[in-house]
Amino acid sequence: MITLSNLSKQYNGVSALNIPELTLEEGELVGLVGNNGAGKTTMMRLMLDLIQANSGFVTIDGKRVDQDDAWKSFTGSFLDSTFLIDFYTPEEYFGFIGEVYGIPQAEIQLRLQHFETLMSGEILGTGKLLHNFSNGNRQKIGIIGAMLIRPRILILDEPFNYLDPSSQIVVARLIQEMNRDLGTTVLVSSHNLNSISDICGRILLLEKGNLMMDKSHVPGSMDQELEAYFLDAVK
Amino acid sequence: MAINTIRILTRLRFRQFFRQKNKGLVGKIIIVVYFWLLELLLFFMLRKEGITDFPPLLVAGICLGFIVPDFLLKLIFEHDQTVMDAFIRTRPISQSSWDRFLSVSQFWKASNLSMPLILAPACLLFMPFRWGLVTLLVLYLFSVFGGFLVMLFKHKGNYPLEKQVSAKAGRSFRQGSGHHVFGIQSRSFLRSKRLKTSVFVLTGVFFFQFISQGFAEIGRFDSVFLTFTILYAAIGLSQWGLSIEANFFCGIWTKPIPVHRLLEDKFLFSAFLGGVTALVAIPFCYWFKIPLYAPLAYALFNAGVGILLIMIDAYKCMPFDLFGKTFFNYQGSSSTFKGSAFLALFVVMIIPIVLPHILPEWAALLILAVIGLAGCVLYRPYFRWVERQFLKNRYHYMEKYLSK
Repeated sequence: MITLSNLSKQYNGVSALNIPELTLEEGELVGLVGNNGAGKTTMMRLMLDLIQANSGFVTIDGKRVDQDDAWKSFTGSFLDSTFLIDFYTPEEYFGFIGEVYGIPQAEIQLRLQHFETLMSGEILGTGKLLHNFSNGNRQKIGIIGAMLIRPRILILDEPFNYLDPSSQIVVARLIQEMNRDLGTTVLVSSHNLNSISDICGRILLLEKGNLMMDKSHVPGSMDQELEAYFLDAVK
Repeated sequence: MAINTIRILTRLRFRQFFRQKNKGLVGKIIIVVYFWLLELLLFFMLRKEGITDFPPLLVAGICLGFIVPDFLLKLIFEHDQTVMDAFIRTRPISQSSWDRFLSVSQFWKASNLSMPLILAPACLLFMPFRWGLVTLLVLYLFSVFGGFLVMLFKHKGNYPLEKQVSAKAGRSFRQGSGHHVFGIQSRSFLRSKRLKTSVFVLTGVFFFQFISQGFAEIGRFDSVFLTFTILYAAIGLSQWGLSIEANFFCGIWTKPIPVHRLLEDKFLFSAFLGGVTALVAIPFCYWFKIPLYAPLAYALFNAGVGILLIMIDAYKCMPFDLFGKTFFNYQGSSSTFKGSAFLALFVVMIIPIVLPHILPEWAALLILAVIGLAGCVLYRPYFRWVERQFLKNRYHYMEKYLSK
């Protein structure tokens, strides 16, 4: 279980996030939506202890993430390219992850087979360094790196960015499978309402750092309320 | 039209230069001031000795002699400046305007100004004013000309993305090859031309000096170049601290990798580089009748004192752009100067040079080896202490890592 308590973050006196209370239950697949600057990435960075909160804290299994490193051993995450080691090949990068988490290399190879559709023959065996891959393929490598450890908690920021439509569908399916088959708690942010509506059982809407909506959702259906909210915003 | 474009590009370049946090500039100013002080010191010391007449032709010759190292340094360290980055490429700037801008910019480029600036006090103090001014002007013009030649010489014209670096061993899945964090050190070093060049070239220059001196004075033990040779390979890498890891620190921090492991592996890899240079130096020491334990003593001192001291605040750094090439992208290249590393480097290099001059040779080398060995034994608790210093203010440093 993940809890956010009185969590706030300000940049130069401007509030970037302000969440009084939020709980993500074990096994939930939660979508995080909001316009640019809504605070989605800030929230994820705070959850991963990458930045300091001005007040409040995040706990995972009752332990504060900024005081106890236990969460690192079962949390997979990919927010942006600062998660990738540019001078590694994909094989080396996945091998590195395997070693860090104590997963045998043979097992890593086995697990990678599960991502063959996503990699579509463009990632393994190319001899290229991550630095030289396209943004789309770097995105895929980052997502696979986060999922490879079969995490109990998976946090992905805009995983559908840079991906072609087919790959977006594959990623959505992989996230859903991981949540369903392994019981992984997933928090995924996106600007794409369709992608979120397709897979998430709960949707959070952030606006200027505030949690405007927290609602249950039936995956696969369109959320009229959510669409109306964004339509109103541009009127 | 072309003049207007040159004006816009120049303004853009200057704004970028002054508006970004430019620690590199601070570093350059410190270096220039440091040399000015040395020149002043030399001038007053010579006056105190009663030497007041300096043959202008000789001084001018010595000053102009610095054109060669100035040119060589630019040739070694500068990258292709002619590459337009994505921003410039997508603007209506013709190739001819760009070429003219590059040529004109040689006149105010920092690297072309630095040597005349450094030597300005020497020219003005040791020569009559007119002689000094003319020498400076000639030095400046030669430096600009050298910069222009280097620009032409380094011109490749490829946009960085087109030039892909491949890992020769990356085709097959490398099983259990001991990547973990040590791999980060070795691979970043071997796959980044910038990093490799800076370490190999200067080590090579020192090694060449050591060998030249050795042949010239067989049997006479002068520690300077041997020290530089062994120390620089390791210190040249470790001085960057966590600048390489800063590029992907989010990926490290969110995984169960303790920071002290990164530091320890950087230490071990740097010490390994120092060890390799020491081993390479041993046959030459035998040849030049230098005690064979000298390179070993220096290697130990290098690891146990030099690297540890240099890495005392390894976490205070900015990301080092391993693949940076473009003209307008200076991030991570010039912004990583660290005053503390500079000071530590100074101390680390002075001790092994001075000690053999004030103590018997064997005693000096023994002391260096013993304190080096002590440092090597204590490196783990030392880096746990460094890690604690990092953790005390980790968000501050991590924010800097994210600012690339």
